[in-house]
Amino acid sequence: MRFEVTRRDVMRFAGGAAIGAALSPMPWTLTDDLAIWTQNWRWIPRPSKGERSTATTACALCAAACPLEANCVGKSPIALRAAGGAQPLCSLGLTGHHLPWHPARITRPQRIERGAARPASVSIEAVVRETARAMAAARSGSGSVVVLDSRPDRSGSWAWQRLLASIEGAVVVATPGTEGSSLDALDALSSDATRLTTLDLAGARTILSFGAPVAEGWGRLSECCPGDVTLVQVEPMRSRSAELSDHWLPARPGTEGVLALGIANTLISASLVPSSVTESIADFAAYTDIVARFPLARVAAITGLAADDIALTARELAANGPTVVVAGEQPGGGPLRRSDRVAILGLNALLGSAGRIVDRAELLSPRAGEPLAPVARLESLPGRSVALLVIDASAGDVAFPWHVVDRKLASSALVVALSPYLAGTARHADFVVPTAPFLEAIHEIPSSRTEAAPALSISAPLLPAREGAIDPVAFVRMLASAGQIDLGGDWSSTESLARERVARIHAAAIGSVAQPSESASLPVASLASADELWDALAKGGRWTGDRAAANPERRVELAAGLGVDLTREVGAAQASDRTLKLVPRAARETTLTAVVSPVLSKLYRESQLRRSPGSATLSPRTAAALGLRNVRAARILTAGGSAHVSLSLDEGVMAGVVELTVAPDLIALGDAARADHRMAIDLLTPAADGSWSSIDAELVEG
Amino acid sequence: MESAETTLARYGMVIDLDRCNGCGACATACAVENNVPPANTSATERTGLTWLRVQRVSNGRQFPQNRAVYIPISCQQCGEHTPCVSVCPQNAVDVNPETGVVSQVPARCLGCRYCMAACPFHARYFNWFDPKWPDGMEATLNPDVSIRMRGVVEKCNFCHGRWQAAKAKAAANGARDIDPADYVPACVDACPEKAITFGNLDDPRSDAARASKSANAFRFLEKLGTDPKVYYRSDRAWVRRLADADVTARESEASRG
Amino acid sequence: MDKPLILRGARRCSTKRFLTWLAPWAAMAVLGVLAIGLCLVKGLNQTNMDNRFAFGLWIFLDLAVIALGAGAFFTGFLLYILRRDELRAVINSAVVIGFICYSGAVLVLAVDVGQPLRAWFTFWHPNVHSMLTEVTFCITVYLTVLAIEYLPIVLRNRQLRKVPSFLVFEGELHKVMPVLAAVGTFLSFFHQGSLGGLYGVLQGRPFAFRDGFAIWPTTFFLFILSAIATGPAFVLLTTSIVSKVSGTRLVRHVVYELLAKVSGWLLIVYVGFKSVDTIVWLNQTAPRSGVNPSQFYAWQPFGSWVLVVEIVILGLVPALIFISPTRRRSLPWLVTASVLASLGVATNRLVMTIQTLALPTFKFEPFMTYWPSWQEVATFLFVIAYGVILYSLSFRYLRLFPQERELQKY
Repeated sequence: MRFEVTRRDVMRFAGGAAIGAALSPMPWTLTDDLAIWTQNWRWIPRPSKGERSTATTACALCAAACPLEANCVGKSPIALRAAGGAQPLCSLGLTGHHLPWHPARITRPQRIERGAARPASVSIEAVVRETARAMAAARSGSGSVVVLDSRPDRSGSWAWQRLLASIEGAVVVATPGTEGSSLDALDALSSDATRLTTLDLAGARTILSFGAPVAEGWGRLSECCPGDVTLVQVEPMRSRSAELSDHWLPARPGTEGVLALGIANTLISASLVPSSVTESIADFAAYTDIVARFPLARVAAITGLAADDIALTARELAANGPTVVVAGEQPGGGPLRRSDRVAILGLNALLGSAGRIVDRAELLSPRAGEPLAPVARLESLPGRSVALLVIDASAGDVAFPWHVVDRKLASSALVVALSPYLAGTARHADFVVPTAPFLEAIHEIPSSRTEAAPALSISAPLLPAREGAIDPVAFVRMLASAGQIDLGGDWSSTESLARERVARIHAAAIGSVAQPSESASLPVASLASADELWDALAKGGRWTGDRAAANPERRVELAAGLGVDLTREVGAAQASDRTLKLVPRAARETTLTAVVSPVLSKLYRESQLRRSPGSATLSPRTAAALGLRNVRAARILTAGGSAHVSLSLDEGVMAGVVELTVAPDLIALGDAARADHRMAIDLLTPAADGSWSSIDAELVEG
Repeated sequence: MESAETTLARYGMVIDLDRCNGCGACATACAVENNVPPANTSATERTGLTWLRVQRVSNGRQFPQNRAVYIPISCQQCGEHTPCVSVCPQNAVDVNPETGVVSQVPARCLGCRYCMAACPFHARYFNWFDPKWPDGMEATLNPDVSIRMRGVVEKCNFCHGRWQAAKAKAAANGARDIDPADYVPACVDACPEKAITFGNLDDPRSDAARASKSANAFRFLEKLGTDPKVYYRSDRAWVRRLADADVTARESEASRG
Repeated sequence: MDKPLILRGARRCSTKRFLTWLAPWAAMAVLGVLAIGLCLVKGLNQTNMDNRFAFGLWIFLDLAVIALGAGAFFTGFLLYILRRDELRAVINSAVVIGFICYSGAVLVLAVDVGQPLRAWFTFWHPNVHSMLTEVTFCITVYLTVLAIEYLPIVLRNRQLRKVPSFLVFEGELHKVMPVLAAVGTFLSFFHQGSLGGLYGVLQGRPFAFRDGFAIWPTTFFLFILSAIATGPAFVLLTTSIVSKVSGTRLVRHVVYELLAKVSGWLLIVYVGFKSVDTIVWLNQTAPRSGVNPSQFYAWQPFGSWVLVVEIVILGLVPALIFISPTRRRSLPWLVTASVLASLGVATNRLVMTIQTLALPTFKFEPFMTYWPSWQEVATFLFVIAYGVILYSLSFRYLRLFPQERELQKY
């Protein structure tokens, strides 16, 4: 038999098949499957399932060391919140668990070559070799060795001091702009300059803050001063602290010291200074002479404030004591000029709070009696003298203009950074050593310069450290062995040193531990072993030691530290009509880390709540005067260089001032680094004393 | 039936604008809780995803009299003529009768954006981009909230995942109703100033119900007749005046200086 | 080359000339395909729409072409239901234009939604309260009706006629035309209205919100009126353009006059209702929503001049031209009036789409601006190119104007 297939047969078959298929479930299933497919695109991430648990630890992202509770899925934190009844976390803390996965994270040592498009991975051995070589050269006189420490008093800080002890002239320096560094001007007031001093804020009823972001967590004020505190904020912009203050004094940038002297003038001329106080001031007569040159009318003219407001503030300060006057670091703006700080902090003595200038009780070091390199101030180092600079940003970063440090570097200086991220200050280094970020390793949060009592928190890891992360203390050990320096002891990691310190605290049986879920503090003396103390700390507890006793006998000198610029002439005429005062602006938490969670784009790029990285804002009147009323893209020029900025207008900005957003930058928010990336903060040229809180700038179209 | 025994609630919040200082913790906590992805590099404030956005509004006066108010705006959970519900062609938006919360079903959504055009509060957001986290950050996602795909609309649902967890907990304990302490949206939790009071507006004992009736409490665009369940309060008259849509008031104010 | 396909007895240009005419449109279409591909693959981030401008150029395009495409159903209604036989001269062309408008709109809608693969959910999980559901249902069904109406025109092509069964089929289809016209009219009334309802029901957008009758806001009726008023005018306009471009007389002048008369009187009615509606809206509806209506027109470029232009210059003026018997005798006047009327309905749709979204609802918001991206524009142009190409092919090979052959004899 033969089958003959005609064209008609084929067409019939095809037609029948088509109709059959249409009537079958196939098209419907297909349609449905397509729709289901749109719900299950493989590129849509899926949350991992796993056992739910909670863990507590301390937040290591700033000195506040907030106790936090992590919700974990399969041991990986998915949400952080304040533990116990603690103050809720800030935006940075809420997203702290994102940071180990930040796009700028590095897990291999990097070499950044000047002019190269992108950094290259190198071996840790190569970094150690190069660093040790620079160290050896420094020993033979090529220059000094300096370690920039973003969080002093850690075990890691001690390890650096121990390593540098064998190198002459080598010092450890707090990273410029570190919180509380403004208070070092207090030391200048004290007749005994060998002791480190601080302010005791406890029990204050009125706080006069010059630029300190007290409402954003600076100085743990909420802890020291519970209850009703009257806050008077002196700041040229309406920051969050100004927003929350009871009284805001928008003094022109750079005139803060004059305002302080004006307040002093009122206090003295209105006889609001008790005689007991004048006796504690060694050079009261000289001080009165200087202050007399700042009558209210003159101060009002210089600061741009109303004379009545200044007088009223002075009276309030005197009447509503105890009053503490703090000079702080505006976020991204660093400390005020040194002479301004002296003038400001001197008010404490005048207001009868001399007793509040206390010796700073020292936190026990991890090991006793070992030779240590000294801690110095960056300003005290001669220019172009540093041959090897190590930036220890393993515990966080501080936003500061690189020029502050750069001018101290010798031309052939080697810069090595320790950081979990290729971001922030580490981008200025030749080599970057990857360290483990918050939640992946032990981090210590010692008391900052703003605290009168020594304190310590331990942030225990909740995640395994990623391969390649190098412990800063282990890196110190590597350098020692490469340079054949004997450090003694068998400590080899941050944890081993931190445990030694905790054991010393336990042995000394001083202080107590505040635990997040308990209302009462646990005295160290009641703990059976050092391990118990360690566990209490690792679960978010904070150990606080005894605060130094106030010394009513202390005598201070108020006139000596006032700089020439303050005592002679201030508020000099502007360089030109186009000159503006450049004021850096940022949220506090974003200036204390190299990176923030990319999710913070909700506050920046995705809303107008916070101004975008690198944007400049000025008042409509100033813009009109400069012919920039309708300009959106501008160039900002300072002695430190120029940069393109997007311009926005805001009636909330002081006339003659341009506010520049300096943190976070785009890399910190998770964008890919561009070769020509320049941090806005580097536009700020520091003054001779290393401050950059207000500098001159010009804005031009383009 | 379990649901029949549950008391019907009408959840709402009262936001104290005099307490809010614009720190943004609420918006951050919201994004973390609800797996809202970080912005695409080309996203702007008009193409982003901010279930809760904090809007800064100035009083328009010159420095130093210039003052700002920070207004956290999420879905206002309209109770009547809910503008987005009636317009959705495929029932991807509905009101949960148990909570009064307006919910969005992303898997049902076609992405026509009609609901966004309908919403006077601009509280609805379209996924203009594929959701993307940096490599590895997927490990931090909340397993209680599913991730939305590109091309659909999403918005605040008063942390539906938390409500479900609270309900499950109540059921496990054999309780009829959930414990108010167990159901608190992430933004309320995160506010350091305790500016947001959340609760059942129908329960006269709840703080939220009391606060919503307090003097100087108001709602935005009340005259549209959509009965929002998010209240605001402020002792500042100029802030309360922002509630109405009438622009002429602002203009005459500005001309007065 | 394509001579055997070309309409018998019609003067058509050479193949080469025809292809040269098509080439730029084809290039435009290719660009459009590229843009559409980008939008489908990469997502709607390729557009300049955003959370505030959730609708943009495309929705405006949809509304405008659907309004202009109303000529198809309304001419059908006049011809088959009201028995105005003169309109047989343009019905085929009207159907093709309607088909182009509706299929173009559906195509753009498919690109405009974020999840086109879920479009059928509207049929599966319909929300019967949504105007958009009604629009989707009606447009889909009406597009099918248009396709069926288009079919006999295609089947009457010189070569296809040779297939006997096609001829039979065509004849059968022809018999049901009045039924289809009735169905089309019914569907069209509803979806034209519902498109207006889309905006009229927006309680949260006082600029769009309108009171109404029963479940229908006034925009429901105004959209129907404006669509049926402009539809015939647009048929007039396209016919005269085709006539001009092809250099042939296609219909008798009386047909133009009839279309103009219908358009004119409907426009008069529309302008009347629209004016009343505007007064009620500005004085009653909007103030009740807590809005001072003057703020609607406080932001440039959408000042109150828009209202004047939309109602008077692009509404009343063409209406007066159309109803004037002397003006009607002059084709240039008719074309001018048709252009004005078509622009009028487009302006109305633009205002309803763009101004509604641009206006702030909160006191502290700015007036929003939006400018389409090249992808949006290219997609828009694709629809135009597609329309021109499909119409050109239809005109060349199909009998769109039955009077054409007759008129050429003179």
